[in-house]
Amino acid sequence: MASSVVRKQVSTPAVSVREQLKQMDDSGVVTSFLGGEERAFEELVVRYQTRLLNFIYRTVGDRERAEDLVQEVFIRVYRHLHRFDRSKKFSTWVYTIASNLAKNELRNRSRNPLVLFQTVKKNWQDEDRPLEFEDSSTRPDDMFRKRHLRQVVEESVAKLPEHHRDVFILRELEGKSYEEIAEITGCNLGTVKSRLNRARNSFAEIVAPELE
Amino acid sequence: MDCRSFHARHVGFVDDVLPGIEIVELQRHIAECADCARHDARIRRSLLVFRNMPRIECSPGFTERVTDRIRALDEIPLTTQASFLTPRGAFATLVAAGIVAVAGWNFVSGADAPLSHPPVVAMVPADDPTVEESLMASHAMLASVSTGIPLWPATLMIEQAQIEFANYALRPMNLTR
Repeated sequence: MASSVVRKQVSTPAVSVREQLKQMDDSGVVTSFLGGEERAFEELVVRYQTRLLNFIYRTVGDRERAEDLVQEVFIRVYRHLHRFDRSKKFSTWVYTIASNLAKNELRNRSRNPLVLFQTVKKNWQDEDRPLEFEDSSTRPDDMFRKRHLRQVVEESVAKLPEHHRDVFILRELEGKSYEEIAEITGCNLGTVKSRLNRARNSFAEIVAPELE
Repeated sequence: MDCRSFHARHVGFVDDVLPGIEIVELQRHIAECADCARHDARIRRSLLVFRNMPRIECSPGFTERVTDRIRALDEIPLTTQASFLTPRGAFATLVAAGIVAVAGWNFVSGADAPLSHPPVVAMVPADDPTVEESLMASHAMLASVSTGIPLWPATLMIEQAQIEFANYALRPMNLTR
């Protein structure tokens, strides 16, 4: 257990340690943390929080829940980091945890369906929208178009089957290789390619009319 | 190259992971086939839109909240995390394991054995001398015998027989009070 690791008090100044950690690769930061440097974990959180948030948000479609799940990912990483096989890529391991949590979330949601805020939001009147301070330099029609496009893209992603969506987001958003996606999702390489092909075709079919 | 093999290799073509010769073949096919060219353009455009979607950021103070939760995990005493590691917990675990083992052994060993009930102990109630006395030596009967009329004792005996019988049944209950 990570908490059982004896924490050493590093005598070097905190700033320089943080700078050193920033320059290390993931493997180095993990080794440093397991060696007792607690600040190394904070570095991992900073490195991965936005990436994981976007990945989970695109998968589950609920921002607040996505943040909760990202927190859960880090807690699991902290608890089980001592069991992590350091011959493998840390990012693949983290994404596997995140992917499993997102899948569980979708499974639980299908068992206990809730009306999501986002689905309600679609039917809102204009005056119901929270007050937003927008950039006045941007033209209103551009703003509308961008917002509309974003909504269309989010809806299109949400329409993809769960196993296609997973692969699609990992490839297009996170830029993972086929091999990494195979490892994260637990599929073979051929399945990853075929799922990605189908996901791309489905996504393009829904989005293309909006782009023309 | 036909359209079918173009579609089969399109994933690798978009991601630029195919060998150079294959990429040239696919590019040549696009130049010749309008349908596949349209398909390729449509996929690439849609992916461009998706990849350029604004990324969301974590809410302010997210990193601090995560690190606070992690610190809170560290502060939870070991006893609450795994109570079986303490001597008391270990003893309780050992006792529980023993009980389970004994119960399991009894269950396994007694499964094929014939069912045996505890012996039933029955007791015969002791003779009540008062009953005999009351039947044979009723006051009325004794009084009638002295008159010399033989019919009376018999009549009295018949009349009193039912009462005596009921008394006999009720007497043990009365004695217990």
